Amino acid sequence: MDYGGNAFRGRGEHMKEFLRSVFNLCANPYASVIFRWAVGLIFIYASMDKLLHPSAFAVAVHNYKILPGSFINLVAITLPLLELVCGILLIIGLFPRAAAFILSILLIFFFSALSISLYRGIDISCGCFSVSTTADKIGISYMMRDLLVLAMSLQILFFDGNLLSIAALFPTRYR
Amino acid sequence: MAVKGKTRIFQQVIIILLFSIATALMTNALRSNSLPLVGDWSQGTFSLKAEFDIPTVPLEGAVVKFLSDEALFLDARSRADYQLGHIQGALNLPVHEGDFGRRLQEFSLKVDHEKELIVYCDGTSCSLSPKLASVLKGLGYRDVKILINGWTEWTMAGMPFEVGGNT
Repeated sequence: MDYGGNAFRGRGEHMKEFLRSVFNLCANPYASVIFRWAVGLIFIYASMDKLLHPSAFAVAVHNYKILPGSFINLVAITLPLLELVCGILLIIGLFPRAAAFILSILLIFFFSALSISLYRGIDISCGCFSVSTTADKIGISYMMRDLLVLAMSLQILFFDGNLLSIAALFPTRYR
Repeated sequence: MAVKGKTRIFQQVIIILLFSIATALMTNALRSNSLPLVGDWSQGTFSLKAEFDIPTVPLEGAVVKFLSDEALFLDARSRADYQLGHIQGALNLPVHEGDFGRRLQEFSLKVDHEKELIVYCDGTSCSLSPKLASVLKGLGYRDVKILINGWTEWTMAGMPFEVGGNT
């Protein structure tokens, strides 16, 4: 007589099912849409002050004392525009996974820069959203915030389903 | 890791990077507060050589600029020297002090790239003002000049100075 599968399932089976439901939750295409908008707006907002004040941003980059001097100006020129472009691409949904890939790499860099600076104990302003020196002193909360945005960005990279995006208009091979 | 369409994403990453870098360089070349592609960030190391060639201004020229209020004077000496006495209205940007980065960041937010700047320290062989002037050039300030032996020349000429002040 068959007593049904459930009564005899082992622990492993339950674990598998749990992981599968977590995966399904992560892979939810609607979550990707929300995350695309959230990450996109965050990076567009973050790029504004830096685009307006390139030299103050260059000094902010220099104050981390991580990059070699000859790269600082190039980073100060290109990074804000890269953030803006990726932010816009995420929101309109053109190349969203590629944009999320670039932003994830950036967020990992930012996380490393923050942790190195906190470890060294240097007192600098973050230069994340504003280039002013009065606000934005770096701290652990900035690293947590970075990880949160990184999580959203990775979700987009792995699971974006082209919902509500321009990419959906193109044939699959161009997405 | 299983990312679907890896090659396609890789190609798109290249497209985004090239587009962003090209646009960034183009807008930087066209905008008024542009940055030079390479700045002078060597202060803090032992290099005393300035990266940019900076013109000097004779005392008479500096006095004219001071009286017509056309130029902003910058004191590159230490905070202590600045407080003992500095050219009237001069700002202090002490190249060799720990909070130079923060001060420079504040300065670059406040002062426009078109502003005429006259940098001075003290003594004919003082390296602080060429250093500061070079850093400012590297940040995109167009009109930076050095007043050699500035503090001594200024006081010898009996020009107005201030003591103390918020540095």
